Amino acid sequence: MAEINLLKQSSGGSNLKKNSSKFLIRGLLTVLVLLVAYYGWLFIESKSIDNKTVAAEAQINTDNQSALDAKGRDELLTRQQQLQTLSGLIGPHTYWSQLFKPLADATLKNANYSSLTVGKDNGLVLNVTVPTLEDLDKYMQIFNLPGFDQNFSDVRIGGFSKVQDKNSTSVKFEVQMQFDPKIIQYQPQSNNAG
Amino acid sequence: MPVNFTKNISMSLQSQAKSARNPLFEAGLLIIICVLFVWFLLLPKQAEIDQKNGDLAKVQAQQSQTKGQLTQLQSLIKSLSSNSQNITMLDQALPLDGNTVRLQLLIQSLAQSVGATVGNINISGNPDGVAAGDKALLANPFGVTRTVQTLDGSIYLIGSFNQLQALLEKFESSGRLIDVDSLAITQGSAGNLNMTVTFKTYYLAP
Repeated sequence: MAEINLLKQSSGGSNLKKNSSKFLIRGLLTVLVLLVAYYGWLFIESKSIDNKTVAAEAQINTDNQSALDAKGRDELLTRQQQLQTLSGLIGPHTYWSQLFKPLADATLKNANYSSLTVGKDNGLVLNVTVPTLEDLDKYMQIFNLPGFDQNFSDVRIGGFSKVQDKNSTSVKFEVQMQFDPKIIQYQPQSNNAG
Repeated sequence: MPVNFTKNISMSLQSQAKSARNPLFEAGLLIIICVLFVWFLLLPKQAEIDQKNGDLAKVQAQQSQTKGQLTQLQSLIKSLSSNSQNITMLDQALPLDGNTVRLQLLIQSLAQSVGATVGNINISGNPDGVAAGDKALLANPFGVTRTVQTLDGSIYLIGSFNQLQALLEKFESSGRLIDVDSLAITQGSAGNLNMTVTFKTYYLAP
């Protein structure tokens, strides 16, 4: 009867399985070890980031404190406020002397002003004397002409009266009008020239 | 000596089957451990690190910004101390006190410089404001909170039209910011004109 070595046969197949299982387990163990090592590295990295964050925050606090304690900081802030306020005030600053030229341009040569009152509401009140009623009419018509109507508007006559002088008669009246606020705003050319 | 081969063979096969099952079990267990480790420890830690890195980047950006601001502040302070002439002009345009006497002197000198006769000058300041000797302010002149305040005034003067116009121009171009509020011109005696100008100026005070 031929001998059959059952043990040898079964041991060959199980060895292969055994070896591959061993490799698999070893591989998995290596992966696990690597994962643990990576975790350990992450843990150390986390601490390192914490330290860096704390250091950066401390530096920010130090810099902030240095800025607060800087000699001359208060003065600098005051000067900045001063400049900022001044810039805001210079914008609407008015130049009333610029009102006279457009007014003179819109005035008849034979008209005389005996008083002038100007307020912030852009209202202008004038007491005017002209030789005749025709001149009064001409005086008013000027404000309807293109160019003049831009500078002055809403011209109203409060009432007029004939005045008898030694040698002549004249017409006296009060006129109220609005002027364009642009007239008294900053005009670089006229101001530079002046 | 009798040997039970059958039993031996059976035992050997059983142990082989056992040892072949165990590594698979171990491998499965290891895989589960690995997955659980990754899922419950590694990934949260990684997320935490990412979050911390993000925070650190923000803090570092802030640090860099603060450092830049500090440098700029120091440079501005340095530049401020070397610009005393401009500061003088700034103080003239918008003083840090509501000194009415100095303003009155300025208005008077402007009016006199055009040759007009000054009738009177009225200036009203803040009645509650301390004019001088404010110890707290003297101790720390720039450490107080300041707001813009106004001084109102009026001037009555007599002169020719050219003088009055020149005065207005002086007001407009003065180093001190003077805003004219209203203007009234009437005929005076001897060909002169009477002019009343109301104005206001500003100052920055506590």
